[in-house]
Amino acid sequence: MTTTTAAVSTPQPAGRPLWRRLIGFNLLAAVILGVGGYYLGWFIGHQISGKSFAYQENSSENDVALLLAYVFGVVGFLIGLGFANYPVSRMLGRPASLREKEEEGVGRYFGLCTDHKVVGIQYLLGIGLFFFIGGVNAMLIRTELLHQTPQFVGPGQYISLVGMHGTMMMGMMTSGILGPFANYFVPILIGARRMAFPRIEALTFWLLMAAGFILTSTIFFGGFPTGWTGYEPLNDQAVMGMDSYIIFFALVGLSMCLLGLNMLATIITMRAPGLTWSRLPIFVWSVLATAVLMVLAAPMLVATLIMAALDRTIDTSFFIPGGGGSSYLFENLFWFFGHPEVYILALPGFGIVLELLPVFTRKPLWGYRLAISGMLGVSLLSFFVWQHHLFVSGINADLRPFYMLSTEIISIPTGFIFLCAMGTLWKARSTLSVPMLFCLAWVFNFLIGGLSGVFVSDAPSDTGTHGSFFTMAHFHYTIMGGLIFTFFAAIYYWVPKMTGLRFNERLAKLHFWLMFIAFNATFMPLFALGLKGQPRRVSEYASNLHALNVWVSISAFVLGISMLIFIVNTVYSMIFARVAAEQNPWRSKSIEWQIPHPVPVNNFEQIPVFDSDPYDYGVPLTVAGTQPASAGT
Amino acid sequence: MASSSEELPLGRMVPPVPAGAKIPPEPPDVGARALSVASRLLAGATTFFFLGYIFAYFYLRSLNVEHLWRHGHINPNQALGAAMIACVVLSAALSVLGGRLMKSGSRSWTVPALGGVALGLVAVALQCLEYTRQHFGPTDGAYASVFCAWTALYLIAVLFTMYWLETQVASELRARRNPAPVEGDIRQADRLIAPGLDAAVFYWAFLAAIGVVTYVVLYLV
Repeated sequence: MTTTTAAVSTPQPAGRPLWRRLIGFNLLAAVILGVGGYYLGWFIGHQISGKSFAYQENSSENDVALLLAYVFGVVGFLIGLGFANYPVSRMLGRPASLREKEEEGVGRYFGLCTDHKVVGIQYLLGIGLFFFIGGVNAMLIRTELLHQTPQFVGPGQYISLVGMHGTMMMGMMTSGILGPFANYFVPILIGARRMAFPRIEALTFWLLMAAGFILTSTIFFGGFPTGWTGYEPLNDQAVMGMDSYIIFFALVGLSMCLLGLNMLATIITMRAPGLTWSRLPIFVWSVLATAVLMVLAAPMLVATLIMAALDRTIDTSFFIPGGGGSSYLFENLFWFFGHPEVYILALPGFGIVLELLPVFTRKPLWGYRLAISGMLGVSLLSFFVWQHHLFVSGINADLRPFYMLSTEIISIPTGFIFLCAMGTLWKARSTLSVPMLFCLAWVFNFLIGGLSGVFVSDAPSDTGTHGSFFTMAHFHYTIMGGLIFTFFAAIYYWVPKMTGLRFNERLAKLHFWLMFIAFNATFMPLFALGLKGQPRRVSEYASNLHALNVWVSISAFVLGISMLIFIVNTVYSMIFARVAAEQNPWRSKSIEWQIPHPVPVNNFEQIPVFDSDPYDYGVPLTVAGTQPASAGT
Repeated sequence: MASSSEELPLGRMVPPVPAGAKIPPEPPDVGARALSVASRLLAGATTFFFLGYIFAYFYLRSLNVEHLWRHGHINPNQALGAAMIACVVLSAALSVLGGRLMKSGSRSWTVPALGGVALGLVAVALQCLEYTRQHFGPTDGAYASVFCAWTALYLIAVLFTMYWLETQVASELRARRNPAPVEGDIRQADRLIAPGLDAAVFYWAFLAAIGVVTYVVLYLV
């Protein structure tokens, strides 16, 4: 374990007057240029389509204009934030630099800032906002399903709500853990002072925010009818709201790819002396395994969405059978990204659980190397399973056994990770703190998610459950039960370090128990509803399913209330109560808890030297040496 | 140690860099390693991006839905295509030469590197010229769709890479006149030019290889 001699700097924010701070590259300029860019793109799109594409002249639907408006809007937004300044200065030959806007006060959180800790907090708040919007959509969906027939929003809006909920959650939450927690803590955990590419780090966040607003804007253009998968040929036939989906996911893909690249470069090149691969915290390993998927899978998504956008605008025929294309091409390409995407969501959750369990069980992590091999195995195998999503879509029957087998094989490395969690918990005298409770909930939820996954990976049983609520229950158990519970575990565990303030524990425990019970009460019955034949994405259902649907809806509302309790707790604890957190409330041996909070400007005054992994609980803490900061990270 | 909540107003959860504070500059080898790794990772990401188009090509070709894969008259201009790929390969070769000259300590590396940039831009211009000359558009069947999208996206990738190479040459030319300060964010930031060029050259050589695959698949197969 390591210690550092970091000292707290005395913060002296620059005292520029407000009017000076409003002029320049900041969020205000970004919004102005973003709106300006949007209208410029809209105008150009109408000029192009009016002159070049006769088929659109008499149509109120102008996908060219909307797509260009979005693209120009995003470019304007980024220019306004100041992201063009550095590339232009490099083009003119000016020297490379690392820091931008790290000296301001609150303003840093509303613009381009290269401090990885600021970016981590930006991510936490930004993703929290869109997670909330996605959650509200879920509440509206369940409100509609209180009735057997459409009563509340109607079938068209219902499918749009389903699409917005799914797309928002699957898109934004890809960075749910890597965005806030990996950006904030990976440099600290590896003994570095920054991420490898700080501007790219900031760019990934702002791309994601632009994407979130674009997806939300789909309600002004009629929504989209495809759900989160954006399947063809529905994609091509949909109204302009579909363009919001395309741009949203393309931006998310770009953000993901850059985030993964930055994480990998940081972990590979910036580890402190002594931090060998076999000493790397397991959370960092999970980030690494996730980042590999992000770098390789996300570009495929972007490529696919460009094809979809071209089909919708200039009438190419990638996915249109009438022009020689095939909608199966989209399905294949999408799931080549889509299945790794599932693990992009799940792997960081594995990392959080394995990182936290040793702290709360006061035991070394059981099977460290096994866990790593499990994560890397999942990462690799996830590229060879995508066709199980197409079992009932008319794929060549000869392909089914291979994809069934490969999908079932992926349960082996996943099982490694589960085994390591079990081994660490074995005979442990655990402290049932709130983060630990969320980790234990993960164990329960993911077990159900994993076991139900066997049924949907098996071609014969998938034939009966595909597209039903059974599948929906399965992936909510893996994604919400796997990712969101660990997301909250990470919040309760690390936010006291990030803010220096602690949560109200009573409210936090209330949040946990209500969330855990309501989650299971919501999603467990969906297995039964699915087996009884209730299909996804349809707002009508048979009368014999009504009682169970009402139960699920009420449980979902309770789940929503549990989230409100979390929000209340956050506002109360962070703004009103403001009780200072202890320096190391969990008695963790990990390095982030050995440095003071607030974490110093440069993380470490002197670069730490690692001489063991952070899981040697039961072994007396050793004080490691340091070396001069200038020796490099 | 418990810190006082009074010291931590919301805006200062992360302490800002104090005005006038001196932060120790970072040694250039840190950035050099990151650039080297990033260029390899970017090559991987680029491969998977174009893999989507390769998959689309062979998938749609094998299906040949309603015999609309490729009409008889749809043939890209072989001469322009060959000239374009020749420029790409030559440009990459010149860039590699520039990189080697720099490693050997020669100051003349900027000449082949600039030549590489110029030839890369010529390749882009030739591709644009081809769009104006070809007798088909993106709506003329599946092959035409794949051809237009794939080549256009490749063109954008080439433009990005030319920008990257240009920044290295521009930095070198500026450094000769006006070296970067020793104690900036990065100690002797100009020492990052060599690894930056190395990373850019690696990526450009890789992209040129993708260009050759593109040419073979779209023009020759």
